[in-house]
Amino acid sequence: MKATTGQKIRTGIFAFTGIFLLVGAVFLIGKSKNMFGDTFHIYGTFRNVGGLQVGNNVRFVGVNVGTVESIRIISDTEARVDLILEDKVHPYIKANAIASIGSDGLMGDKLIVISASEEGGVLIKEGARIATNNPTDMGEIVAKMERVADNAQIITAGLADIATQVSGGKGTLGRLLYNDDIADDLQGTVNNIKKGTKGFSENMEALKGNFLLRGYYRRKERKRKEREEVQQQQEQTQQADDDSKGKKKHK
Amino acid sequence: MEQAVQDIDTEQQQQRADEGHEDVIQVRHVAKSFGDNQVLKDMSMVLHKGENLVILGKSGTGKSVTIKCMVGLLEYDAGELKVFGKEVKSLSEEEMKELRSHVGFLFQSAALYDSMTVRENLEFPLKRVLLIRDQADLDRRVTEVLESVGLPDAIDKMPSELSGGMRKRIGLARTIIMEPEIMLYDEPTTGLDPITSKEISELIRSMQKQYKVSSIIITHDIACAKITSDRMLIMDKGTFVAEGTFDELSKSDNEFIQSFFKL
Amino acid sequence: MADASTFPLKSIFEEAGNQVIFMGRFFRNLFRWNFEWEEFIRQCYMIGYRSLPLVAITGFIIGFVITLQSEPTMKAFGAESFIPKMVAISLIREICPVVIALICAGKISSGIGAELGSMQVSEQIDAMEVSGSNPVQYLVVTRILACIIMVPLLTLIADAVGFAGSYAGLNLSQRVSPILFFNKAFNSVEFGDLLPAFFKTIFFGFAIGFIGCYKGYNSNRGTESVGIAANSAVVNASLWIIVIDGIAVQLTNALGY
Repeated sequence: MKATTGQKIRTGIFAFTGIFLLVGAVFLIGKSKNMFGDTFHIYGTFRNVGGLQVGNNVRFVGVNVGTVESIRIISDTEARVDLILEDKVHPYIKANAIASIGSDGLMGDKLIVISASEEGGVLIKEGARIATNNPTDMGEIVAKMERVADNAQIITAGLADIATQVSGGKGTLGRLLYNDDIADDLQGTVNNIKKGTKGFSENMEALKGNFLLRGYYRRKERKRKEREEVQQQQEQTQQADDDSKGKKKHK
Repeated sequence: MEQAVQDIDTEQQQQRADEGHEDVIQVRHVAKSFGDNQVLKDMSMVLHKGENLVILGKSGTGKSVTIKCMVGLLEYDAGELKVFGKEVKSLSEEEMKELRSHVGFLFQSAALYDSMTVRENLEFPLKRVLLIRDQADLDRRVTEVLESVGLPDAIDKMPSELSGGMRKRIGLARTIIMEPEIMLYDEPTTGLDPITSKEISELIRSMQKQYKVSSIIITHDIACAKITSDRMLIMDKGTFVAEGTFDELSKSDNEFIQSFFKL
Repeated sequence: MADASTFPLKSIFEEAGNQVIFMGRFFRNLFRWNFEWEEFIRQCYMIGYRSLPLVAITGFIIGFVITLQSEPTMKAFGAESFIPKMVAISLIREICPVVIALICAGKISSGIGAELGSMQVSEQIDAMEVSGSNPVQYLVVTRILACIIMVPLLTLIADAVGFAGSYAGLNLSQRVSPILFFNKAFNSVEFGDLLPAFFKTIFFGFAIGFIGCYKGYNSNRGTESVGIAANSAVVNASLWIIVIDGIAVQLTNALGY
């Protein structure tokens, strides 16, 4: 049977719709992957790309501006990551910008974050290398922890040594703790101090008698006496000591 | 009617004599089996140019298989089968196509293409085999052949709108439009009422006259055989058991042969 | 026949051999100069355009249902914003190609099987062959080619309609602007998702057309064989689709998409 004109038209429309969808999808995907339109390229090297994949987004000030074009290992410690960026953001990316690897949310893909390091600077050139900030790696953290542990070991060894010396009575601290001579010396010192304070107390008494300060002391004595009258009724026995102590309090 | 048949017979014989009894189909010792079932065994026959040969036989005796072998629809196992002097089995694809364009085959069911109108049915082989692209030429041929089968009005009908007899006629028209030299009719009257059967039989005769074709007519319908036959072969169990004109065979003493002629 | 029933393996290999021979006939006739344009366009109409409503409804409901089904789980993870991405990738990569192909196997493959089967039964194919015209070129090449072209297009349309269904599903529970939805969906889709799926559907289309034609063209005589042809066309085409899908996923993984 011949195809009627209506059938041909409808088949044609159908075919065009399908092809349009295919082309549209290709274009949309291509657009999101920066395959069409003006672009420029930069690259950076990382010691660890942390599972970054070709096609992951590149962000600059939080905006998706490009994608990862390729990732390849260039030496035993480094991988080169080529980025393809929209040409319209070229004027904003400076040569001193830093690329780092980030993550899009908890479950999200890895992405490259380009951040400007400071104001000013020259624009980055097409195909130039960009400085990178390597992501903190668990391995590195472990290595640091190891160094900390090593230091702690040295410190504790030193402490142990000190403790041994101290307990052996060596050094100032050891002698302080373990030598009786010092205690005796201290006793002597304390006795001297007692004698000294007694002398001082006498000097003070003499001072009170001095005519210049007599008025001051007398007023003071009167106030003290008024206050102490109640106390003295209860504390008859320690009156002699109170005399000197009470003076100290008021000073 | 019988007189008319006789006249045509005489005419045919005259013509045949003129052309020196050229044989368009020669079959020698052909055998064919489907699995364990041997359908044709040691079958031999010839078809003279311009004659109507009727092959009479019961159903399932291998009549259809015989003519299908002649156009390469089925492949025979042994023996030789030559159409226009060429061994059918050894033909290349292109040669087979060439052969088939000279041989018409009317199927039992007429085999009209259901999805096409009568016109498209008739144009189908013209466009694809004779490679005629000119619409005026196509129209002329279609109208002409439809008139010769007596159905000029059916041109834009779908096959499903046609009666059994009409389908047979259109089938015949589709075959004859290719102007074949040999026509093979597979049970042309089966499934038709006696009056339509007679019309179709007469149409076969008129085709012979009009287009000068040589025909093999396979049938078990004795009325059809009577009208169409110049010569008859009777087939049984994969081989031919008798040969002769309708009159000769109808007077045979053989009980098996007689069984066909009893009404 | 008796041998075939006692040795099922033999009949399996015979069938496989026949299919390969038939495929050879298809490819040989594919590159003949007199291509049947009229019939090809008519088949494109029958196979492509006529399947459109079925495919569109299926696509829409798939997108809709997947969104609704995945929403509670995604919500539990606080990952609702991943729904467009997930739906887009799963529709484009796997669900639409396979489901649409299976539906087309049911509609198109069985239709071709029944049509050619009935043509075989009523001797129409023999009639074409005997008239000297080429039934493989007219019937088989046009249908298989129409399937190869139309099934991928139908799948693309189902993808698009599936997105719309997903958007509708998402909007039952929350307000998402269409721009945001399609932005999210398309930002996550890559060529590695779309193109392998697209090429896969071309093979699905071939399987659908080829099996339909093979089963119909080689059906037995007798009216019941039309039903058998249609039925085995669906079964075999579906099986082929699943097998091709299995191979395709390995291939795309091996190629790194």
